[in-house]
Amino acid sequence: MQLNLLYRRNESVILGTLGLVAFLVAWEGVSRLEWFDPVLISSPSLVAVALKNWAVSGALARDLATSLLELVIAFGAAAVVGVPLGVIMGWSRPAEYAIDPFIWVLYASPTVSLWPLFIIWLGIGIKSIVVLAFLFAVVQVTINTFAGVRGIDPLLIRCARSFNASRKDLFFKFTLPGALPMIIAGLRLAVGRALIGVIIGELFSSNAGLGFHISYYGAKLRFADFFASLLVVVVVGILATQGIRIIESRFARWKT
Amino acid sequence: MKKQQRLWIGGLAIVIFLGLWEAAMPLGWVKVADISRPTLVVKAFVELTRTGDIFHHLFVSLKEFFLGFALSLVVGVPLGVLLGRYRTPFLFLDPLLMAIYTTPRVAMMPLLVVAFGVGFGATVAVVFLGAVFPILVNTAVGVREIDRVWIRAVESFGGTEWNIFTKVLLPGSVPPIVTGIRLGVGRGILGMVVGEMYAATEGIGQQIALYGNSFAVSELMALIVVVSLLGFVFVSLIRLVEDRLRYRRMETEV
Repeated sequence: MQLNLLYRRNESVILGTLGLVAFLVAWEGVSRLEWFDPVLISSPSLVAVALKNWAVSGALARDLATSLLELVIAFGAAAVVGVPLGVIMGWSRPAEYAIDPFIWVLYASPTVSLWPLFIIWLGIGIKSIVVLAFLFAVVQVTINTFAGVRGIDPLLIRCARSFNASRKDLFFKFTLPGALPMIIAGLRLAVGRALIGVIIGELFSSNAGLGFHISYYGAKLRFADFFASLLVVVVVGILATQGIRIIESRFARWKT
Repeated sequence: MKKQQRLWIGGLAIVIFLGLWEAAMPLGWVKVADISRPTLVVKAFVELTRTGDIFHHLFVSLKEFFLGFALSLVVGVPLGVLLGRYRTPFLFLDPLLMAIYTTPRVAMMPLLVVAFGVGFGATVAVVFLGAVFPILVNTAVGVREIDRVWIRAVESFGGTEWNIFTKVLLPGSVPPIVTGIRLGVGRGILGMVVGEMYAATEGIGQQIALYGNSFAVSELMALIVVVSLLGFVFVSLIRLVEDRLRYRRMETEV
């Protein structure tokens, strides 16, 4: 009875962990029994060893620092540019009509196709990577901010107006706080996109960073190291996203 | 009135942008890099279509895209419906799927190239991987949000589990599935371009990489415009379907 209750309360955790463990066991087993080419699929134990070697050699810290630096610059720039842009679009109709076509084209088109242009203009290295990641992220920030500003209850705005609120008050006391949850949600999505941008840029051409590690060991057919770098990328992505989610939930609580 | 305003202000902004771009190089505003000019890009585009080369590559890319995307529909929708309907498999697979979902799928390119071969196989695989998760997740969420009353109605009239799937769950989750398809198309085209840029012998992405390596900025930009238009048209079309569905749904709910 007690056990049953314990299970019911933690069903999602227990089943989820079970799923992960089953996956790892199946992966290890398939690799050991050579049902698939072990060179190709590697195995969890080999990945763990590769990860350990990577960390011990000190290269992990270096690669991580490079990628994180690019991520932080790109994401920071996207927030600094995207939020004001979205606010302007939400605040003024003509501005929205003027900026809208560019944002939608950027949103719908595969931004990676611009990569060779960045290489020609900015050269191989951190500048091109940051610009690509920035473009990946900024669209998301802008669209979310715009939707947040536009989505504020018009009744609230009219109420404020009828109490003689100045434009400044209207902006800082109604528009910005009202749009904040959407803005933070946009930042959360944007950090994931920025990370993808960083990885793609490093994958194509760089000599450091997680993406470089991926392409380098992928090309050498050392897939244990390849999976280890993929794993680190996933962890970085989850940590960054969860970090913003914590901020998000704090604001959501404040709002209600 | 509002629509008209949107059109002429948006159009004006684009015209100004193109005008500035056209003038930037001849007037020497940009000195460090070749940013080309709209007229040169158009000329390059005409040249590319005249030789007919571009159509071959476009055809190859579209073939890869549609095959990968069809696969992601075939896998994503049924699996999404199942995971939305049954709690235990969903809880079982949730962390695993989330882990794969947060992995940048394009980062798997080196593995996919070795596993499925340079070009066609690897690109189809990366399109599939990119598109399948948004479709799967949206389908599952859509199924879960269907009012349970409908399911109980089928049950109380003696309907089988199969009836529930075909009469309630599939039709009921069409709007979120279409949303998933829209997100999936974007990811799929991203995958297609990255896949071909990374390693391929033909296709639009490979051409982009090729012209990029030879510093042919005008041709490069013409190709980028083609790819962007492709993505834009696809996403806009699906958005149209989406809006229509939402509209009709609201009607039936009144």
